[in-house]
Amino acid sequence: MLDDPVLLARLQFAANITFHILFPTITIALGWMLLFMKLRFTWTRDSAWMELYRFWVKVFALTFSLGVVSGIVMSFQFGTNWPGFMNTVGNIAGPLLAYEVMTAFFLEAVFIGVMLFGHGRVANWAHTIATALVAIGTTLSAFWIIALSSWMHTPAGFEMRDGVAHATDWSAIVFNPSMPIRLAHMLLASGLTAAFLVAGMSAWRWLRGDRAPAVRNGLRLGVTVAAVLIPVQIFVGDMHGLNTLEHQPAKIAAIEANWETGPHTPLVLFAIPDEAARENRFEIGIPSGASWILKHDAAGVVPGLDQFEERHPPVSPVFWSFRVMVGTGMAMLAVAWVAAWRLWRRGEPGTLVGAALVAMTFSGWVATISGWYVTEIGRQP
Amino acid sequence: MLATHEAASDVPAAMIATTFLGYMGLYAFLLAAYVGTLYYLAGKGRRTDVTVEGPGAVPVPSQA
Amino acid sequence: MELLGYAPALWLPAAFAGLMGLAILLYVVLDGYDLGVGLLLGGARDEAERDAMIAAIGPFWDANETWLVLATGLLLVAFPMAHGVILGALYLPVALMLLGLILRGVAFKFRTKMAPGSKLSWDRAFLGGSALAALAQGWMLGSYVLGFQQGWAANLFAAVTALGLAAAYAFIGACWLVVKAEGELQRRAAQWARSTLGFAALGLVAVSVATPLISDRIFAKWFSLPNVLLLAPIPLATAALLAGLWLALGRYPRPGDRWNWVPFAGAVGIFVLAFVGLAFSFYPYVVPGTLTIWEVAAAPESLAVILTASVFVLPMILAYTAFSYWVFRGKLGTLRYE
Repeated sequence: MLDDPVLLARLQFAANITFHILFPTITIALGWMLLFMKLRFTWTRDSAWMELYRFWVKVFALTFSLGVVSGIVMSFQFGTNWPGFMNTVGNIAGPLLAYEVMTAFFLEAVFIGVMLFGHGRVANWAHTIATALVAIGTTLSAFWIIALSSWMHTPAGFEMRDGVAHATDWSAIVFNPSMPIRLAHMLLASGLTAAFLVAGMSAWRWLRGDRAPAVRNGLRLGVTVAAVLIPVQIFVGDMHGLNTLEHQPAKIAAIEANWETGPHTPLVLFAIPDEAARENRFEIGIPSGASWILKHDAAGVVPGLDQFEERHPPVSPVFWSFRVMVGTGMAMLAVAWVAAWRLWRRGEPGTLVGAALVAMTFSGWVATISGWYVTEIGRQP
Repeated sequence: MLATHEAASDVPAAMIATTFLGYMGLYAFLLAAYVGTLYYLAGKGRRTDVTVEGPGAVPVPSQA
Repeated sequence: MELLGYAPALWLPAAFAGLMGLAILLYVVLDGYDLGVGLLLGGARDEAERDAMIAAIGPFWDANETWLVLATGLLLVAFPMAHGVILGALYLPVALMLLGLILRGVAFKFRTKMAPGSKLSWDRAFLGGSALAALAQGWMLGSYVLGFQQGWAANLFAAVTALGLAAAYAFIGACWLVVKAEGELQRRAAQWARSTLGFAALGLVAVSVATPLISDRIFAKWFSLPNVLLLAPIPLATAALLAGLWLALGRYPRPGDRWNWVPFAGAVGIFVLAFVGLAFSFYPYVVPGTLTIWEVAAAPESLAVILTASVFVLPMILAYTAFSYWVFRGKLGTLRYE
């Protein structure tokens, strides 16, 4: 295995991107939550909000710098590991990456200095604006990178000349068919990751006997954001699935481990996909479930892997990643709503719900990474 | 349209393997340090809390 | 295409070579001083001194490093083939540099957040990461100048440029500390600047001698008439700056801390002159002696799209960068955010 450069390059890039994605996933939404804390402090003059801000700005700084350094590694690896990629689609990918660096990276990198160190050197309003600019920067960065990523899934607005892609319509490239839904899915994933991080860390402090008002505020903020975003995310995720069915049916077939095209396709809950025999072992499914979800009709015809013989992604990783993502999402829904209900009725989480929140602290990472595996392994070969 | 293997570079496999293992080790360490730091930072809050409220600050189930 | 005027395939690559040059120069000066401060951490006496040194670069280093991303980004998007060739040839030093940059980037944040006992270890990681990154960049410079030749002589030369660039970074870092530090630290910073200046000059001389010797084309470019007369100001001004700074630094810091920005300005001048000399030698080649910027440029439509953005965005970036330096003007003491 260690002498196959393609596999190694792929592994190395996958490891890097997995490591990198952990941190922007937090900072994109945490930036906006910090802005919210800062504004609440400015309006209420309640020092608990500032205390909460001071704690989370440290986490933000740490997370941000891990994102920056792993991002630098990625900017080099595009060239060192995948020269062929840039030779073919560099005319499309290049401008998108350049726009990301110029509009987003510098904005966040310069103003994070003001945001972290500017207290006492600039007025409170200027510091708030710096916080807002950092949040805008992280979100813009997500915008460009998702535009590139979804263009690689659903390319549009280009023509091939001599085996090299040339841009013909930039707005079609940026707003390619799967981009808006994919961006929404990613931003919501970021919101959920940050919300569960804030809620989980606050619950951990609360369980350890830290009853500072800042902890209570953090708990309420995290749980509220999580409880509001999770149903939206499930809805958007379903739309993303339909979008994928339209543009990348092979991926959906792999996600569902559906080997044969046909109506009344079951929704496979559990199975061990067997690529050699092209069938599932130990399959447990809901009859007509997949047809109903994907076509919103029990008799809907769902494309199967038999349509994409030799040209479909590896089934097991996609199948399992998808189930991990959805399972995590369901657990998020349950914990967020129960915790929200407890906080609303009793004003505090209680030991059991608190422990559940602590257990879910990094659930956003699990869901985000498995989600990326579904979409990126599902893009192969 | 462009399969992954067509885009790979011709850097020797041993070199990629070495840097790959290096990155993996570093990433594992950094991830542990990151999570460790989060809990260390969160734990610091309690210490100041304890000095304010006295050493008996254990969770008291309160009914609101 | 009409919008682009006359022969965009000719001037667009040149414009991008200029942009990339600007990004590299800004990176070398800006991240140069903060890498240099990282190297000088080895000379700090105690934790308080290390805190003061790191405070002097705290609000700036994130943005400084972004110029590296822009420079490689521009190389990648404007000259994709050259990006593959250069970074493929420099695979190992690039990996080491990245390792160094990762280490120092995270050590910088971890040092104030972890348990107090581990602070010294993170400071060592910061120093080690800075040294690794600076040496790897110097190695890459030497390797690039020789057109990626292999063999012991090439490696020896790369080792000299590695030490030379590290010394140059330490030098500009010490000059930055003369601006930002106070008291005893400032006094020692002036001494550091003076003692690293000589090594930086040695590296500079090594590159200046090797570059024309390695290539007849570059030799002819510098030593033919009238070029030799027109270009003479570059080495002469560099030599004058080096000598002037060496003399002046012996008398720093000045009473009342006046003129504290002069050594840093002089150091920037030396970096700019050295960079202009190198750029003149290699232009229009992006891979020395093999590929010119026109042979490897991306499609003009794509370059035009990026150029349009950079015309508006780069001045904005420079403006808010200037704003940040203005906010954090003067002495920074032990600036911290917790």
